[in-house]
Amino acid sequence: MDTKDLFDRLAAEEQPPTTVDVRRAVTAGRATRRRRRTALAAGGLAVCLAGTFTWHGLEGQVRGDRTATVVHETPDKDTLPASGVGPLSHAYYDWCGEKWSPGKAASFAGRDCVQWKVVTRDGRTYRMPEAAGVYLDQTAANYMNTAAPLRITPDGRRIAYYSAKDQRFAVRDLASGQVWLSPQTVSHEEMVKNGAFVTLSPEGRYLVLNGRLRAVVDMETGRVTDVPQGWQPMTVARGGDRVIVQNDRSRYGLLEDGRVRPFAGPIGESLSDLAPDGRTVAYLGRPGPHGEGMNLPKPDTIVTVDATTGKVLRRVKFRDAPRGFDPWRIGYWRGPTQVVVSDVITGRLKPGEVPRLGEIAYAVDVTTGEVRKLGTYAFRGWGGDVVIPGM
Amino acid sequence: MSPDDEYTAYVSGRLPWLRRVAYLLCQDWHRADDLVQSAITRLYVKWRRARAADDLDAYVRVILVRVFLAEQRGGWFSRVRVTHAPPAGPAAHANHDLALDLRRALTAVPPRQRATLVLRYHCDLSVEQTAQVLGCSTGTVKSQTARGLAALRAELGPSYSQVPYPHPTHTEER
Repeated sequence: MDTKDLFDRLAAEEQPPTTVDVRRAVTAGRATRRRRRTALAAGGLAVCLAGTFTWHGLEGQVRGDRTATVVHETPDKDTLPASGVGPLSHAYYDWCGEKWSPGKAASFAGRDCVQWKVVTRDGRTYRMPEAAGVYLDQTAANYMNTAAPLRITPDGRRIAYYSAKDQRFAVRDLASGQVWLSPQTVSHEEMVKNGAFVTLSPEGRYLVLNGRLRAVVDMETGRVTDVPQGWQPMTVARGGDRVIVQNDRSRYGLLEDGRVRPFAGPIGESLSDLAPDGRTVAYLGRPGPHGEGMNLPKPDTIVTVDATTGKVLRRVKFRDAPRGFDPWRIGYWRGPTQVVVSDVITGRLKPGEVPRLGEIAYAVDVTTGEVRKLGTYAFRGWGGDVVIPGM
Repeated sequence: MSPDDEYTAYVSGRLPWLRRVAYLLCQDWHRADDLVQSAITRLYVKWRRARAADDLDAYVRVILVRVFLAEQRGGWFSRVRVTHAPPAGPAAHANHDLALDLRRALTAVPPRQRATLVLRYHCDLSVEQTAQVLGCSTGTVKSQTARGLAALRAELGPSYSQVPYPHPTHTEER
């Protein structure tokens, strides 16, 4: 057998059915052309090249380093160690505890406090320079988008963030120090301009990329699952096989086996993760009809929905809730019947004092409505954000 | 016939050939499909220029090989397309063991050397043509070919050792 024989034998293999889709190539190719024209019109070849590269990142040109290891060239005691870190309690950024004007973040350049800080359960606080934090180049037009996203798994052992160095999203196992990078490349400019919304599956393996990327990434194998056109991925269940999606008419659906099963009607509230049973989701119900605006009535019930049918399972009034209870986020499940919600910290500000900001997490039993406080996650500052595991 | 119709007709007609070349490059039909999908998307973008090329097949082959090499440089590739279609079954083959051995051997050859071998021994390109596709010198093609064949020999053992060592263009060097 010579070299030619070798190739002839392999080439003679009967071809299995193909998944190549010429129409998809035409659609993707047209979009690329459109993007190039737009980018050129917007002012420059550099922009054009970046846009093209990004598009390819979405349409099949997925590639990249699979894993990386964090190496700090000049580690100090305040920097998150590359490995051997225990579970996290929460993360936050605080604008150095100083007042901040929207769109004028550049004055904070060069200061460590614009980085995300993570707090371990045993109370240690570390800076995380490898995770993009506050956007110093934001403008008044997008001042609401103040920092790159960061997520922590409910067990506090894995963290998802945007790696500015790699221009990719990353998931890091804090104990082992292993970092998995997403295949999609997203430029810093795009992060600042459009923002990004990411969520992690409960075990920290699957990363949901909302917005233009519209995909769920298995960070350990690199598999990317595209979400059908018209839907945005919101959360992904443990195991990655079920994804809650939402369309622009506030209708949710369950994506499974490539098919979206829409819920019965629109839900104008955020949904929780999928419960451990893989089919129940919950949201915060409010009394009476209400429209959009700042004067929404406070939630008073926890509503559960069967995601496979989209039908409401039960509505249960809160019980034993603290006075003024006004949860605004809903996230992971602490067990088969307890879902976690959070409320912002409120309190009177004494003259000359820096405010105490943050959130309080509660577990709500979806069968009884019982509300139980889990913990307070606070920092001192005039602005910033806090991230609670699983939220 | 509109340019889009021309493109669709060409790609549909050459799909089996493109898949075969992609398969030889990567030894995996699913990934071969991904490579072809990427290559034909790029081809669509450049279709006006491509259709005017003297040899359209050669033009597409360059795209395909470069897509493959680019992904290899990235070191990692995977994508799932959501579809209702059931997964494809295994391809029928008269001699599975032999096919497996050949595939394993080819997989052991580094990607750039593998691409060189595919272009030279499957696509029957000359050293110069291969150099053009890979964007390198003819000397590099020769050295990559020699190393690729050596890697194949090391993997396949005696069944392959009878292959004469190729010195196809030594005279050209003088």
